[in-house]
Amino acid sequence: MVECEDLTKYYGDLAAVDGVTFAANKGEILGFLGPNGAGKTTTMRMIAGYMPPDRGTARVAGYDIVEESVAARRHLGYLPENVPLYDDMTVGHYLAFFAKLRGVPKKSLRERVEYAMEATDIAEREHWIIGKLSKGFRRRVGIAQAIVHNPPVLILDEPTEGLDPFQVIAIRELIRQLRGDHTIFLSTHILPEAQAMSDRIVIIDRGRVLAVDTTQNLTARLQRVRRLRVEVRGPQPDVQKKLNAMAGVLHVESVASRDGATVFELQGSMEVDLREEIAKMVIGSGWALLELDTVEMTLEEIFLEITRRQRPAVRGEA
Amino acid sequence: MKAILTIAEREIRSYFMSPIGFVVLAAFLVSTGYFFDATLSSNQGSLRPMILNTVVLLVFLLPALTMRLLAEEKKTGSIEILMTSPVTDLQVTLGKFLGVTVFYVVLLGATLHYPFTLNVAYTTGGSPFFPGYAGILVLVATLVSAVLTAATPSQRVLPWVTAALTLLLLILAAIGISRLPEPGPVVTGYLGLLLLGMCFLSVGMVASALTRNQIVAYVVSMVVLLAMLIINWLADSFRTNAQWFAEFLDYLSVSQHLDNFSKGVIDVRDIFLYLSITGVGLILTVRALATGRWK
Repeated sequence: MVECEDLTKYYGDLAAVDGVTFAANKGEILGFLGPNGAGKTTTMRMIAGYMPPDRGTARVAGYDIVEESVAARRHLGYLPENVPLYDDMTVGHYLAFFAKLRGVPKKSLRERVEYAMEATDIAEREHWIIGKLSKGFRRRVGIAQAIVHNPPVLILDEPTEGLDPFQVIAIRELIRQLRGDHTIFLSTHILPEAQAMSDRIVIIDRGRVLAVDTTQNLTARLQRVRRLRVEVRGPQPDVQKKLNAMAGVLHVESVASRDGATVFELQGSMEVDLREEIAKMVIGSGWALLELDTVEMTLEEIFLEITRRQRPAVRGEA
Repeated sequence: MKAILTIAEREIRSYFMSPIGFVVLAAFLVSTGYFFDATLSSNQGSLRPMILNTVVLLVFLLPALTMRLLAEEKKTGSIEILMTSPVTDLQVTLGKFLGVTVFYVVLLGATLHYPFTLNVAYTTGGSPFFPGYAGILVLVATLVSAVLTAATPSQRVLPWVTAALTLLLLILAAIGISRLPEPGPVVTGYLGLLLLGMCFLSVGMVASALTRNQIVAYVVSMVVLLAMLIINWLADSFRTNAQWFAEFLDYLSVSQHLDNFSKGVIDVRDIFLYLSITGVGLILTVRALATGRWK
């Protein structure tokens, strides 16, 4: 639905976006993750047809953003990062304006405006002047204008930036509801948000794509040790000693203790699943096993690991 | 075409919803009212002095209408949503130009009760007090209903009221103009003001497309318009040495051409100059927009 090929943009001599290539499949939410200044907004602006690439191209719903820019723009809805709206218009007018501009037929105009307002829960503010709205409502109006013409592709730049926790939950829920009908490409620098909302993740740093995959696959690819969390009620030194002595265990650390029980974090070899052996050993020793769980890598760790691996290479090439 | 009209409609609404539209409207009416009063006092039975004086007014007022058109969109970033909609740079330029031109026509329309008042003063030789205020009342009613229409689109009856009042105003003006001893110069004078205004507005749009700062857009367009107005002042220095150049400068001066219109003369060269400047202004605006996006 969205395909980028070698997308490149220079600001002077600096490559803000450098050979970005990836594709978003129909109906999926693709998270675009990277630190501030990584090139997320520039990439999104190019895909949205706001600025042309210096090299490479992208296709939106099959239309080339350079060669068939107007047709490509007809098939997308775009929410810029700082939600720039027309402050002198009412919400209803604003949505009707963009619906008309994007070719919604007159007979279904009202229906589409109502759908967009209901989907974003702003119907009660229809007659409000946009300049009087709170930040949360402004962002909802921004999303409403992006979906008012029912585009197959939605490009949302930092959709929850600057919102309070309740608003963040509401916007995330809304985006999840839009999944399926729309291919959603959203950017964020908030890692848990990317993890919570995206089917797949594009990691970008310094204008280059470092990885494109699901969180699970990225974990599988990057995790070099198996990590387990074990909570045992028993004498802490003895338990630690026995865990350390087990075959395949590389490192044991006591991370917390409560009510006579201790929480250990283990690192073991990727080749063996130690959970069964650990359970047998604890029970066999007459201690109580309160918790035994695999600890997945967090997106934060994945991100740090990927950027740590890639940065020296980038420096080396420069 | 639909995109152009949609953008134009938004701009017209915006003028009626923002203070700048009303400030310009008020300043325009107060000033033209003063010029008209001077015309009445001189007992000339013609609107020519008012039309000629209005040019200076336009140099200062029209940049206030155009300064926000693109500079404000750039500053707030709203241009990003506009330009990622399926519209071309040309459609955006023409839509905004049409919008501001329609508002300018409203400004001009707001002075249409003057011919009626002039007619009464001329034919009766008496005080224009009563008919003059009748005209003003119709005008105010028209403006109020136009504002209400812009603010409340769901009220279907208001556009009809506005249209009816506008028609009444036009009829009053037509009656007034037709009964003047020389109606031609009034009609051509207004045509000249319309064409001149369009060319001023297009210059203002270029300035607005080149900057994010509305004050800069205002000052730049005002200075350029002033230069266009007084360029023929330089002509005298060249009249002895380079007559052709002096004539060329005379031709470029926009005020010289309005003089013809105000006398009732429609010259193709005058129309050509105004329309060419308007065209060049619009082309430069499209180019400026494209340059902004391709950087």
